[in-house]
Amino acid sequence: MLRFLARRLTQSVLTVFGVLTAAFFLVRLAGDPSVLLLPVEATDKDIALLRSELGLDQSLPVQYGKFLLNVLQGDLGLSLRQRVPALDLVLERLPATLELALTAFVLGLVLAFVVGLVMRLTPSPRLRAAIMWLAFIRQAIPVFFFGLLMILLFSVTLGWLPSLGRGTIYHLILPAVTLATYELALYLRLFNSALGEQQGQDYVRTAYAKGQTRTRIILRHMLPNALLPLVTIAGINLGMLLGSAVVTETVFSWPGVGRLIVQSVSQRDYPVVIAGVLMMSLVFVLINLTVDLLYAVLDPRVRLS
Amino acid sequence: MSIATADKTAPATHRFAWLRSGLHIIGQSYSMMFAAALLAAVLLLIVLVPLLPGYDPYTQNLAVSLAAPFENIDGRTYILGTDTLGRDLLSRAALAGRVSLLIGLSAVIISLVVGVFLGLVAGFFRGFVESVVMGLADLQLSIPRVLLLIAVAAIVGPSVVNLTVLLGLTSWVVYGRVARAMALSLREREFVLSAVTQGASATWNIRKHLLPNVLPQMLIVGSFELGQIIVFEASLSYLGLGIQPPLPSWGMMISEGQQYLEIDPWIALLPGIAIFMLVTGVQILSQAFTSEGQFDLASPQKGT
Repeated sequence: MLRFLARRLTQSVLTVFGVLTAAFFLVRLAGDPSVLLLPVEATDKDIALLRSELGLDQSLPVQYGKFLLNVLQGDLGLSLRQRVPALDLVLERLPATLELALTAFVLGLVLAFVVGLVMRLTPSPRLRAAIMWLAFIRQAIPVFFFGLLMILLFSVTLGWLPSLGRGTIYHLILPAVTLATYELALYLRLFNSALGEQQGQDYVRTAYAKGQTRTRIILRHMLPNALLPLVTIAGINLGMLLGSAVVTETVFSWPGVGRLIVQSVSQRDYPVVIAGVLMMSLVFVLINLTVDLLYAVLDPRVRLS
Repeated sequence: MSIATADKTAPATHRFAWLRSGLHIIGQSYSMMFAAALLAAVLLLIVLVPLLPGYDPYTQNLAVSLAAPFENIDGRTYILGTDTLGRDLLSRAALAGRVSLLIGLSAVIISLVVGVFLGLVAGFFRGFVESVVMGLADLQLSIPRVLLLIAVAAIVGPSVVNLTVLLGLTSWVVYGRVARAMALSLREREFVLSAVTQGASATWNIRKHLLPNVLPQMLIVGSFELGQIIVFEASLSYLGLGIQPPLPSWGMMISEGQQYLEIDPWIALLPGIAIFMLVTGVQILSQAFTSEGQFDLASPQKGT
């Protein structure tokens, strides 16, 4: 277990380092930030002054080293627009993003669980096909368009739920459902095939032989065994969910990191963009690490491979 | 599609057989026919509308702004209505579809070429090259793709060419991984080993022995990726980081329409429906070819 932990930790650290390096060189590719910062009528002297202030007059390796040192100290530079530390802006928005992503994650699992069970227990093959088709169609609709359809139906037409912003639990419903249903088709297929695999097992036959009802066998015996793959895939997909959250936040004007990133892009506020992307990547790496470790605890075979 | 040697002498009828079996699959199930119908409708929109009289995606005319579908103003019927600036939505949707499909196909080709090249080189040479390529793939997978696209689009600036290259370069990992996995098993096969013993160069082996064997699989992966890439492009354009005005794009049209959802929901709905039709059609058909491809792999007699 320790060796697995060490290997997995090293991998995560390397990943974060790689992301940092990529971010640094991407920003340097973008050109000289001092030109963007200063007004058009700035003299060469002004530019030179700002460049030395920002450390842009030093060699690339020195700049890179300084950048890494700053990041380690939690300094990701100042927002070009608001003149406050970029990291503070991002951290301020992080709870909103996590709230949305985690709600959607749990909701997605619950939905998959309930709908999957209905699919298993229902005697009607038509209902089963209908559910699968609905889930498939949902998956074929891009997140932002599905969000818009939800707004159109529940906010504009029915007037039941607010379409913008964050605050009450009602604000959370539409964006969370939009995010949660995206992977439903995948989860249902997985859950269904996992349950199907259990169907032929000896312990299920024994239970039937003992005269237990089908419902009871599915709920008590097969279900616990079929849940693990579902949870694993959901964990792996949590990262994808974070990515889709960026788009969803913009659709519903949800004040999270994703919306901050998109807004900062249109304002050419690179430090905030980079800080936001770094933060989201860090969260992503941490989630993946947690899922892997959890899985290793639950299933000893993983540690050995 | 055989996994064995590249078969240059395969009779020409083989290709038609493949097409025929594709059509056969389509005819077999309702979902395939549904998909084919969706795709046909979108393609008709994209190909035919620009040929029609009255095709004009750019001219603004505030006198006819926000016309409803099929509304007739001054003797001209706007089949899908107009947007806030009075531009014909049918024309804009058609042009946007062309741009989307063009970007999607080009990005798939770029990612396929890059992915196949890196994957085959990694799988054939192994060792250091393999570690570097696979490390790069892992690194790229460690950032959600939307975020990566946003970050890079923000920095290089949005344009059709940048967007295409960007989508292409961030999508190579799938091809790279599959190509590497296939190369790993192919390089141990007799026909490669014998070529190596006879002094064939690595380039020759990769080009003549590996490439033809992985290409059919790669095209299947590509058909699956096309839908994804079109959605990514639409999402970026929706966020304002993709295609820039005045060129229309479905994503941007939806974002514009969102502001008028209460007055005129059609502006946002129509491009959304177009994306849905295109993506669903591509997805269902590619699934059919995926199962077809696996079937071919499972029974090597077929097609050799």
